[in-house]
Amino acid sequence: MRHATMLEVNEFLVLDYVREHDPTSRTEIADDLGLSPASVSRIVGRLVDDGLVDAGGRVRSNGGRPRALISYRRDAGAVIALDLGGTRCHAALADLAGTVLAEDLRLAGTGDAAFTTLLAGIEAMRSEARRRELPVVALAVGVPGILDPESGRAHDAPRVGWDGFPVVERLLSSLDLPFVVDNDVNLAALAHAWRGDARHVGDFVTLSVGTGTGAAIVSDGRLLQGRHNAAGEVGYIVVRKEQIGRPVTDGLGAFESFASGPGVAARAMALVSEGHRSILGDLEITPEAVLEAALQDDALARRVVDELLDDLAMGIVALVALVDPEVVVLEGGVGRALGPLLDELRARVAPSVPFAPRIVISSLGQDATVLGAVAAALGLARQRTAPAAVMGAFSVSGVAGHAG
Amino acid sequence: MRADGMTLAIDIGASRSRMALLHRGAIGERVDRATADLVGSDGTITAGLVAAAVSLHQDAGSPRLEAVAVAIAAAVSGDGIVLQARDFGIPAGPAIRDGLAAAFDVAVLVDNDANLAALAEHTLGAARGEEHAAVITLGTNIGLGLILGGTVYRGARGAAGEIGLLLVPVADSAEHGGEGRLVDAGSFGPAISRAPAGYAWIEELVGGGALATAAGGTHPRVFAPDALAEPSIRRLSEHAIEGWSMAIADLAVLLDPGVVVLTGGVATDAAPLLNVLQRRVAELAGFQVEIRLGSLGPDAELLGADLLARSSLEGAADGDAGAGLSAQIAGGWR
Repeated sequence: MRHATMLEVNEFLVLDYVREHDPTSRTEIADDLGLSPASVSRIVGRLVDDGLVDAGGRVRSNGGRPRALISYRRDAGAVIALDLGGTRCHAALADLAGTVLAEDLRLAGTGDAAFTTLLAGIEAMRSEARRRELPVVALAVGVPGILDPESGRAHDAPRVGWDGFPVVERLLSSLDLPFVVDNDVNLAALAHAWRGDARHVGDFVTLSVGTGTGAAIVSDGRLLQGRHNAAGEVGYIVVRKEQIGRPVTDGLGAFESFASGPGVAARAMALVSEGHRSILGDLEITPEAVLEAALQDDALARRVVDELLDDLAMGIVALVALVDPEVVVLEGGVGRALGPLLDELRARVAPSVPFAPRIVISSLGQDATVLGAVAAALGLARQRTAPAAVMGAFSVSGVAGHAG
Repeated sequence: MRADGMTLAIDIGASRSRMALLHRGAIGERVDRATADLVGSDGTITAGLVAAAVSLHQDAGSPRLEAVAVAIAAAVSGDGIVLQARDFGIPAGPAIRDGLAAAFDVAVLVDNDANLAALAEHTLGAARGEEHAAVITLGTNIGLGLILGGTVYRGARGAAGEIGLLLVPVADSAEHGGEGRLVDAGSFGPAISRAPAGYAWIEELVGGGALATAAGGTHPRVFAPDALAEPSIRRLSEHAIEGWSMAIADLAVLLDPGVVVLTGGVATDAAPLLNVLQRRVAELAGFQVEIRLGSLGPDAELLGADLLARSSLEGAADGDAGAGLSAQIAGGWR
């Protein structure tokens, strides 16, 4: 096992460009991506060495020297990516340029059942790869918990009932592929650096607010892992005065218990049961319903959403005070639903920090983690085929293993 | 090639400013002044600081200087520009850097004081050998220098580590024996307004200056054994431990530094309560966080400034300084 699957985002950008403009030339790549000709030549050379592109064809340009044509090798292989969430397991098969070719969605379950679901998702994608006659070269899995880099166990993942689950050991005994396992929000951050809202941004935070709450902190293009691979556990910050002078005994972080989907729903339910009038009294109270009711000026829902925005602002202020990010990307089911309330959130953060970050809603929908897993798997595949080329504009903190 | 001349290191704090001449890391002649005494008619310390530095240098026989390095209790950009004025006389902008450069005609390096304390504790002191460490300076103000991955972490604009700006919930006055909020905010300058209702910045709540004010000025050292004998001061110290615990717990869960080093005069006074602090942080964070006292004492910032100067001089001498000293530091510390 080892840490830090490295990959160079610029390589993916070039590969994406070649795939989308197939065939193309080094000059076109350099001009359109704003990279230096020397960088493009170096990257293309590595991609050729790795069997991902061909650079053999030549065509005479308008009167000048013949240009070498760069073309994409679609038959070179594929990777499998998985996002094991609290409610669903999302699997994807992608080619070596990161184009998603097939997907599989199924209910996740908890405990051993969650792992069984994971294997079923993997098998569905392997089957699809066989049908397409694509060799699968690597796999990456995002899990909603902390990966212990020494033991390969997943901790603090209550949404799938894992606390000490030996996910790496179980994958080693089930797979014959190189793989990497990482925290789901870390992978979402990787996706944002690659194809999302933090492209070309060195310092940013991905704050995920959904079934649970977590953050990934990226500094100068590298993920902050911390000593125990546990950096970014924003769900545990202190936000309420009820915590003053009292022990924490329930194991659930205070921030996460308020600033999350279940926290929002529970708060609304409590107020409804206290007899406060609300349109939510006639509905199934879900986080989505609360946010919708708040936008319709329902007083109870508005109160719950105001509390949520206060708590989120607290968390963002803490992140900004400590790490000074340029951008904060809101992820997760609740985070992504905050678009209409974004100005209110920004207004709460700005007065309390010296340099307000740009706060944006994720543009990747529900796919950020699985897309980040594609990138991590591609990085792992590249690292194995060309270790000397791994110069890393981004590192993934995951725990990797290989059987076979 | 190693730099072999002297450096002039300056540490500007909210209440005291220290400056010293160092040779190969050893502190020689030095002077310690109240920061308030350096403030001139323009409301800033710039002219007074330069004059005091020149005076120290002349009193020492005007030895050849290689560089001047300044530790400053403010956020500082990678090229030594103060990002935000502080209300004890630190002006925003390049005035301090440029004033010293004009007076001494050598490279002047400016960085946040907590960053430099962290550099010193990591290189020479209690955080030596640690890949990740958080060094908290507990003085009149509260600062934080972060060592992440073996290097000082600065953030996108040089403003990382502003732990004094962490918001913590504030109990109602009645819940804290009538003390309520301890002091008014405002030391962060005009870019910051006020903490939201129900919350306080940790520094305005339990920074050393706030604690001394809350103690009525009679006990500036609220953790001194004789002060703790008074019930009201003891309550204040418990209040401080709770506030610090919240800040350290937030830091621990967000950055997972592994080791937290406490430096500064207030930390030294509070040393007997370290176990209490560690227990409470573990309760709030949900895991044990190792908390150590710094080993370099009040000179950590001066030693860090000297390390900064010498490392940049060595970089320049080796010909890899790129566009200049400032750029070298900005690039090398990320």
